[in-house]
Parts: sequence; structure tokens; C-alpha cells
Amino acid sequence: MNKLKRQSLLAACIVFLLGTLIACSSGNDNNTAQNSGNNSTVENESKQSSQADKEVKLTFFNTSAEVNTVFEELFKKYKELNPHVTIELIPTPIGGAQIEIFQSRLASGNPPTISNLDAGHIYQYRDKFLDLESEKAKYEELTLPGAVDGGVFEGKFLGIPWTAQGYGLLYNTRVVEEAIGGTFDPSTIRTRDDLAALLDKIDAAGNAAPVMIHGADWSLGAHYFALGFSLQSQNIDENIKYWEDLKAGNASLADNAVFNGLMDTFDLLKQYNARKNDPLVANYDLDSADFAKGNAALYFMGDWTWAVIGSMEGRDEEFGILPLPISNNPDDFGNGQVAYSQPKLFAIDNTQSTPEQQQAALEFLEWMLTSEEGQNAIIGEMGLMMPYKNLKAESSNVISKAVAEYVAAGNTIDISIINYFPSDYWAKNGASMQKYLTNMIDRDTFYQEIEAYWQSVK
Amino acid sequence: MKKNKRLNNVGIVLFFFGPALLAFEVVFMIPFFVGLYLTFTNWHIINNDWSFIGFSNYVEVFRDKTFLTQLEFTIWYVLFTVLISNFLAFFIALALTSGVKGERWLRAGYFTPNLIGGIVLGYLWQTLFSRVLPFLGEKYGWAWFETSWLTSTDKAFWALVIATSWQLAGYLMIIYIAGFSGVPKDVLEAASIDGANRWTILRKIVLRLSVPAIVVCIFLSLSRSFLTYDLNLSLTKGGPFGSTELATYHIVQKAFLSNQYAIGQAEAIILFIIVAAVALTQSYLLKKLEVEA
Amino acid sequence: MAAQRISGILKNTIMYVGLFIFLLPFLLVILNSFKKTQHFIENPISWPKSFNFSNYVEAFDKMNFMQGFMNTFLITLFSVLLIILFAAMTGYLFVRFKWKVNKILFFTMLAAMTVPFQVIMIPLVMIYGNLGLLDSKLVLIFMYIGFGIPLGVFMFHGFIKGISYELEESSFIDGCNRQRTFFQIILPLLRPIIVTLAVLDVLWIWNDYLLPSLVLLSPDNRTLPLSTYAFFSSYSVDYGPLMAALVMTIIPVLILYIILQDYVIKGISEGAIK
Repeated sequence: MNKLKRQSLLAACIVFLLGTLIACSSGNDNNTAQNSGNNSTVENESKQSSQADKEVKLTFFNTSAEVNTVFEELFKKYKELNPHVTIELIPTPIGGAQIEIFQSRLASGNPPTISNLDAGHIYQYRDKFLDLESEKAKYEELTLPGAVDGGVFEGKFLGIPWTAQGYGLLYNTRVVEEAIGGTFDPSTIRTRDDLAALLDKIDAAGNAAPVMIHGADWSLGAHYFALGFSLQSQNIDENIKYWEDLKAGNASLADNAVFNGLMDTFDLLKQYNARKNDPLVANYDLDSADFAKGNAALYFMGDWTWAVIGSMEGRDEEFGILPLPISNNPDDFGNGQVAYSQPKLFAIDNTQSTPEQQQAALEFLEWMLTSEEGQNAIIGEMGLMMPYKNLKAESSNVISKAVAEYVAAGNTIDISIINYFPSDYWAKNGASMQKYLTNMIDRDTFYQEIEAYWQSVK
Repeated sequence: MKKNKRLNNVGIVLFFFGPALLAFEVVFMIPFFVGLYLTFTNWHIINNDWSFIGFSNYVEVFRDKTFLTQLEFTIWYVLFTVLISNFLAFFIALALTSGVKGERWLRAGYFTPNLIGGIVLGYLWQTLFSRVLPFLGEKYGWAWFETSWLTSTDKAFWALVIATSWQLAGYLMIIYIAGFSGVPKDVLEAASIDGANRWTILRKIVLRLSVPAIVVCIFLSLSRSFLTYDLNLSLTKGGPFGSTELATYHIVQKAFLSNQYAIGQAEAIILFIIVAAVALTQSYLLKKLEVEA
Repeated sequence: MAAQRISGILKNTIMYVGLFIFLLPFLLVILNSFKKTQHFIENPISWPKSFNFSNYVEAFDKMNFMQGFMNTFLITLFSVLLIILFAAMTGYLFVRFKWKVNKILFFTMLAAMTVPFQVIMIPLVMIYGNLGLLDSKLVLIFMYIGFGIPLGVFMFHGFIKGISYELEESSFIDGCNRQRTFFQIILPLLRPIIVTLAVLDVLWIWNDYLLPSLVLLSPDNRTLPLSTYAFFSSYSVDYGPLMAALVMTIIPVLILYIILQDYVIKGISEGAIK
């Protein structure tokens, strides 16, 4: 027995020692193989400093997955103009796994040089990004008023704005006009009663479902419900104060006129919902297609849906956007404004990247945002709105053109409070909204769930 | 002489075990222990804080009521998935090793579902449950399918079980087929065709002889269904309203989306302990059967 | 006898009907790989207007299929071969040397199979990233060996236990040492399990997304599952080309299985003789 024990102990020790030994040497093997074959960012850096031609390799992390290929084309074009700069796209998978990949890149010491991220994520990772103070004046000159402010977090300019989105109640002009029997003037819908009358007319006409509510948690939680925080006041500091009160348990949703109004409007939409039979089916492609083809007259969505409907066969031509009325006073904030934000920003890594890489990244971004090729790609091919002055490209996106009219008139709702929310807020609030949508819970229980979530947030 | 033999043995051990142990240690064990250590810190990629804080993350886990209910949900899901997939796989494998016309093609056919990887598989089933079945349901008036299964909490559970079992069955079938290689062919044939002593043959001979395969299959189906993530993400996204979030899904959300990496990691360790306990206990118990047989 | 024949026919019928139901989701893939994404969204079960291969051409182009194929092929081939070799050797050792340390290690490996990958994901990229070992196919292969060993050992262990020791003893008497005995006597006997493990591991590595997405950084190294990113967007999926890409990714593995399964069948008939 004793002998056996000693024997096995000895064996264990030797195995482990040798294992570790081989581990080290094998590590070296891999290292040399790697040096001869591939080059990681780190090695590239050392190469850069030693070689004279200043080859620069940049990596670009993209969370706007639908436009991956357009970005790749731009990188190629830029390489032709600047042969020493190579840009590689880091594509991201669909959905929540995006931020996982971003974190693993940071953890492995291979952060992307340029990241196209949600503004909220830039705020969360603010210590990792370069302060672009020196660029601020230039971009303030280039962009629409207020655009740069969307990229400023705690006094530092971290994210360069490049796209803007608006959302509200989209409408299919043909269907609406057929229902009311004449030209439709969106400015006639300024109160909930106006909206109810319109929905009723469309319903009576019977050609199409009055409104499409997309039942996904991101639409219900982030775009619909969270709008209530932004509608508290035109001043974002007031919005933040209300949010802080709610988290501390000092504010109650049931006492808040804005949230009550928002939910009353939701009740109205619910009544006329195209997906009434199965509200949570939430097939984004199908919902957008039904709206584009006129099977639904209104659609609570934003101009980004153009990426799906723009290339569709047999769709209608004209679309517009209505503000979401939350009360019966036409002058209340929100009844004449559409939600508007800069959802994605470009940020530059400040943890591992060399000054040369950072400089090259800045030059590339400026080229992409100001040159005709760049603007053509973003506006023309991606179908996005750019918050920039003197644009050299024309958009084919009918919906973003409609949003742009509200922007030009200053009739927008600043929803940047959501940048400060934790990244799971839309899933949690969205889940409660889904329960409310399917009548599983009443308004009181709904408010309790939402309040409980926010009070649990530190 | 004895000493010599011992040295010789050590040499053999190193020869046979060295490469595997090396890879296993370096790729798995070291990261695992680093990961384990992180559960005793407040580490997050944003703060990179490595200081030791004791067991407070584990205390948090037991305060996380959602995690505990999801753990229960996961256990039900695993139970049904393991039973259904193994039952299907066992009988498909039995039928396909006992002489059916076109065995080759049948096997390849039943194997095919495995070839579709996690995320895409989920989208496929999503289309099936939320589009194809409701479409057919409306057309032929099958009340069961008129609304999407994925929008009701109970049916979404079964949707998950069905999709997982469907894929696992083909995978386990391969192992059962290999396991039957120790069973004479005429016995297999008799067991697969209706006859007077069919069930006796099945129970006394086939089941006993394929215990090693059964152990492997139940072990694998247990660990794979406990750790389901991709399919959950793309089929139900945890919905409707978070009612179908499996444990792993919750862990990923917690660690990467809610920015509570260390707590998510601690939950993963708890999950690991549960899965390991269940999976190893079943292998231990089933292996006893093997000795008796 | 007649009853048995009827029962046999019934079995055949059940197997074919079962197969059809089993393959329905897959038939959906093939059907829709010939349709435009919009047509898929509007009606996923309609018959395609024509069987043209434009989705296939688009997918082939967009995902840089040949390069992805070569990368996937090399990574899968070497990983699977090495996993099988090392796992068979380890499994043999664990069966024939019943030391306590071996039991502990075997137990550890079993337990390792139940660890959620998320536990080791961040530490793994942290360690290998900071050593500058990422973005290399060799390192990826090495990782697959590390992660694949436990299942292999588990399966070989169960199988080798069933092989009688007498075979080896006679070989020792002939003067062979352990190594030769293993390669000449044991390894050939393991054929059915080797083929089975090969199929399982090929399936896993060929389709794996997460690990390559963490390890392979540059576009030149991308594997096929990584290349399908081109068809995903944040809220929707370009189904037409994705389905075509899926079919193209699947076919090599299916062919491999059809070839390899004969070895499994052979193993079965040999087992019957024994």
C-alpha cells in the first residue's frame, strides 16, 4: 500500500514537472512558427518602428454588421490612395455576442484600433479610448450643431459621430391616403385623439392593419418605453435627475404624467396592432416587409429599417414619419417631435495602439467622413443619415429624409440619456413590455416590475 | 530489477500520456484556474482589478433569484432533452444496424442534422416554429400551430427541447452504432423486430452489452444540454419575456452585458459543479451495471 | 415467419417516414438556397421559381470560399488526427495502469467536459494574447487538442476496457515492448471507435465558431463558419446566400461521413464474428 502510494506520488510529480517543461518549450515553438508566418498587432508595431516605409495596419471593429461589406470596400479604396495603410475589418456576430468579442479583444491585448460602437458602450469603456480633444474644433466645424456633444463623455471627446437615426411612427403614404381619401398632412396628427381617429379610419377602410408593433424586446424596451425618460424634459440633466430619483425609489411611474401618457398611447396602438393574434412573433424582416408592401399602415420603427425595405421588390414608394403623441395637448413635448440620436460613434483605442496607428486611424476617419467616396458609401449605399454639413451625396432613404425635416426644424427628442443606462436595460424593460403587450400583467404590475429593475441597478 | 521496471513504467507513462497531458494542462487547466481565481475578485475588463475579495461573489449568486429559477428551468430542459434524444438515438441506431434497406443512406440522412452549427440551426428552427408551422396551422386549422410556439412560455420550452433533441439524436446515434459493434448482428435483428422474446433480448442482451455506449451518450447529452447557449440565443433569445433563458445564457448576459463579469463567472462555476456532479454520478452508477453484466 | 416479415416491412417504412420528418428542416435549407431572401421571408415553404445557383455564386464570392475551405480543412485535419492519436494512447494508459494518479486525472478530464466554455474564455485569450500566441492556425490546432482530449480519452477508455489482456500478453511474450504492442495490436482493434471519434470531432471543429473567432484575428486565417458573417446583420439575416453557404459547408463533411461509415459497419461485422 505504502509503496504504491509512493510510486504514484513520484509519477505524479514527474509527469507534472515534465508537463510544465514541455509546456514552455512548446510555447516557444509556437512562437517561432508565429513569427515566421503570421503577424499580430504587437509584432507589427515593432516592425513599424524599425522599418522606414512606415507600414501601418489598423483593425476596425464593426457592430453595424449590416454594412460590413460597404466598410470593406472603403478600406480597399483607401488602400489604393494610401498604400501604406492596411485596414482589416473585425466582423461581429449577430446580437449580444458582439460585446463578448470586443471584451475578448481587449483582454487578449489585441484591441481594435478603431471601434464602431454604441454610444453607451463608449461611455462604459471610456478609459480605453483616446481623448480626441485636438480634433474637436475641426469636427464641430464639420458637423451639424450639437452632433459633437453626443460624443463627449465626462468632458472628453471620445467618439466621432458619423450617423444619425430617427424613430417614431412610420407611415405608408399610399395606405394612409387611401384610407382618409385625400392627401395626408402629418402635421394634423398632434394628439392621441388625432391618432385614434386616424387608426379608426384605416381600420374602417379595411385594406390594411392600422399599425404594426414590432414585438422584440429591443424595440419595446429601448425605443418605446425608454422614450419616457427622454420626454420628461427637453433638458437632459432633468431627465437624468428623474432617472436617479426612480433608481433611488423617490419617484413613482404611476404618478408620472409622461409615462402614463406613453402607456395610454401604447394601449391605443395595441388595440389596432397588426400582430394582435400573436404579438410577440417579432420577425423583423417580415414586419418591415408587411409595412413596406402596405399590409400595415403605420409602423413603430426607425429609418434604419430602410436597410431591409430599400431593396425589396414590389414595395410602395412613399413613406413618412409621425411623432408619437403621448397626450391630448398638441403643444406637449413629444407630440410634435421625433426621437433622434447618434447611435454609433467611432472611437480610437488608447491602450495598445501606437501613436502612428492612432494618427493613421484619425486620417482615415476624416477621409471617410468628408470625402465624396466616403459619404457616397455611408449615405448612398448604407442608406444612413450623416449629421454633417455640406454633404456631397444624396440619400435614397425616404424615411431618413422625412426625419431630416424634423431635424432641420429643430423638432427632435434628445434620447442620449440611454447612453448612461446599463447594457441589459432594454432586455429587462423589454421583457416587462412584452408581458404588458400580451395582457399578462396590468399597468400596476408592469410599473412595479420596471421600478424593481431600476432600483436594483447600482 | 524492480527499480528498473519502475523507471521503465515512468517512461511508458510519459510516452503515452505526455502529449495529451501537456495540451490539456496548458489549454484547459491553467485558464480554468485563472478563471476560478477571478470569481474571488471584482475583476472586469474595464477595471482590471485582481485583488482578492473572498466569497462575496458566491453570496451574490445565491441572492440572484432569476439565476436560481433559471437553474430549475434548465434542469427540466435537460431532463427532457436527455431522455428524448437518447431514446430516439438508441432506437434509430438499433434499427440502422439490424438490416434495413438502404442502411448507408439512412444513416447519412439521420446524421445530417448535426452538420448545421448552433446559431444557424436556431434561425432555422425559428423559421419553422414562427413561420412554417403557423402557416400550415392556419391553412389546415390545426389549433396547436396557429400561433408561433416561440411566443408562449410553455410551448417555447418544448420548442427548445425538440430542436436540441433533434440535433443531439443524430450525434448520439453515431456513438450507439459504434457501441453496438460488440453485439452480434442476429441478436440486434431479433431485438429490432417484433417477436415473442423481443423485449427480453433487448433488455438482457443488447442493453447490457451497450452499457459503455449508454454511459458515454448520457454523459455527453447531459453536459451538452446543460451548456446549451447558441441555440438558446438564436431560437428564443430567452423570450418570451426572459422565460426561456437557460443557465448558460443567463451567465453570458450577466458577465458580458450586465458588466458583472466576476458574478457571472461564479455562476458558471456553480453550474459546472452541478453538471459535473450529475454527469459523474450517472456514469458511476451505470458503470456498476456494466460490471454486473 | 410471415408476422416477422410484416414487422420487417413496417420497420423499413417507419425508418423512411422518420427520416423524412427528421430531414424537414434541412430540406427547408436546400429549398431556400435557391430563393431570394425576400421570397424566403414572405413564404419559406414556397417552391423556388427556378433552380438557379446565383445564391451559391454570391456566397462563394462573398465568403472567399476557397481560402476559408483550405483553412478549415487544414485545422480540422491536423486537430482530429492528433486528438485521436494522443487520446488513444492516454486512454490505453489509463486502462492498463490503474494508478491512483491516473484515476484522478481521468476524473479531472471527465469533469473538464462539463465546464461552461465561458469560464475559460476570457482567461484563455488573456494568457495566449499576452504571450503573442494568437492569430495562428498552429495555436488553434493545439487548443483543439487540449479541448478534444477529454472526450477522446473517455471514449477510448470505455472501449479498451473491453479488449482482453491476453492479446497483449502473447505479444509481450513475442518480445514486443509496450509501444509496439500498442501500435500493432491495440490500435487496429480500435478502428470503429477511431472512426466514430473522428466523425464527432470533425463535426465539432468544422462547424466551430466561437474559438476560431477568438483565436484567428486576421482575415487570411478565417475558417468557413467565420466567413458566414457576411450574411448576418445586426437585426436580420440574408437568408438566401446563407442557406447556400450552409449547403456548401456541409457537403464535404457529409461525403466524409458516407465514406467513413463503412468502417464502422465493418467493425460491427467483425464484432459479430468474435
